[in-house]
Amino acid sequence: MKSFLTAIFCIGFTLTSTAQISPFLQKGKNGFGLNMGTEKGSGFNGLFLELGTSVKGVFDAELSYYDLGFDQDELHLLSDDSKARYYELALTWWFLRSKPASFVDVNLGLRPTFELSDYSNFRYPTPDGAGVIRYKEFYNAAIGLRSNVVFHLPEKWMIQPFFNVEYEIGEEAEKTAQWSDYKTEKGMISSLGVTVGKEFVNQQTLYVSMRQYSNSYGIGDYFDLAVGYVFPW
Amino acid sequence: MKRFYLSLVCFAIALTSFGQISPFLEKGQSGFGVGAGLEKGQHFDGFSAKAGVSLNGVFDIEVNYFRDQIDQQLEEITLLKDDATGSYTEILLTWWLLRSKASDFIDVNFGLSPGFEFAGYDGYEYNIGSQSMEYKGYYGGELGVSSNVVFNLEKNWRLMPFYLLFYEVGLDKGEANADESKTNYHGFTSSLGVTLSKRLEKGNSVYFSFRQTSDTYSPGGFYNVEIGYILPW
Repeated sequence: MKSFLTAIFCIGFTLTSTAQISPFLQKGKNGFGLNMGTEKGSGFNGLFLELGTSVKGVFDAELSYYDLGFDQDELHLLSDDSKARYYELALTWWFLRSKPASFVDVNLGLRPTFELSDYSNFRYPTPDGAGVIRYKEFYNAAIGLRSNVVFHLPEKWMIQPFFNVEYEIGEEAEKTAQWSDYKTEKGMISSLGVTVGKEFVNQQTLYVSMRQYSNSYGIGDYFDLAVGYVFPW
Repeated sequence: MKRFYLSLVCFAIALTSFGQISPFLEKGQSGFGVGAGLEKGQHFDGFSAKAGVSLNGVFDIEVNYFRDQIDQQLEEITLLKDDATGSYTEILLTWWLLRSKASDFIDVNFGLSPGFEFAGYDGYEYNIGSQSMEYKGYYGGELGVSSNVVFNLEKNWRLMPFYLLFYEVGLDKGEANADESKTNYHGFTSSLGVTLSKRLEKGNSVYFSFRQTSDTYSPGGFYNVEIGYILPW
């Protein structure tokens, strides 16, 4: 049963946001960013929306919301309308923002995160098949590193490969008719991706980002695709 | 049995070092490097230590040591004891075939890395039905390629994304009902990561590195963070 629970856990814990507002802005500029996208993994898919602000091109603060649906057959659930919502608050301190050449920016950030979730109708049988476990929620805290290199191309296009890694620790809650339990879990996740952006007037930028996630929980990778917009203020 | 061995092998085989002393040095310069780190995977966590030399900034010789604590409850088996450990030693040579300076601020390095590795497990005992089993460890050889791009930033900072790919072949050692057995393994391991370093006086460098490792033995990745020091001589 543990592997199954771990898999569930992982679905939630790996949903970290893009955290890339400041890299679209010049150092010293404030900005606002939003993005939305879709994600797909083994046994789940969903949508997400993120809003955030950059202060001086050095600190990002972001709020993210995810809405997921789960595959009953793939996860052996007892309900066909199992859903989850996640809420995430993330701060990123871009402690290294360097411009080694006119067309290249290199950015490295430290990123603490806090995340909450709420599951509905996420029920599955106990290992002996005699009872039902209801997975209720989890919450966690994480500390991560963000790295990217921005290549400024002709006609104000930019391409930005990035690699992020994060260590997480948290608790998940599950319940049966007889007991209620909280379990501590910890692990690491990483995401690798590319963002393509186009800058318009006044440094406003429209972008598309694609990512692949991996993790230490022993389940497969999953993917997301986002479109976003950043503008200075 | 084979499947079980494969799941074990992934603990160890993926623990290749990142083989990067020369990229911190000028071509033609020799140096010494040490590093220490922590790692976390699906069912293990531990620490790593390494020491090595670079000859003329072209050949690296490294000795790496890893020691991991392994969870008692694994995916398919439960160990009889809760204190199973694995110790790994690796000797790795890297011949940096290509060390090119693409511009004033970008170095590109590409190397060929043969190596030898051996591991010993302690307390890795379990039962399958009426059979008592013990996994003892493995030994094998590896051949890989190491690649990285070094961005030389302001104030002597450097950011170095890297990617390694290794092919490995060797023998697992175990015991079934006190009879010794050996099983062949082979597969690929890759590592993707980023190193941030600061160059100090006289070419000394301190670095911090984080990376994700994947392999053909299991669906999950594992992670390593390392700090180290490079001293030219």
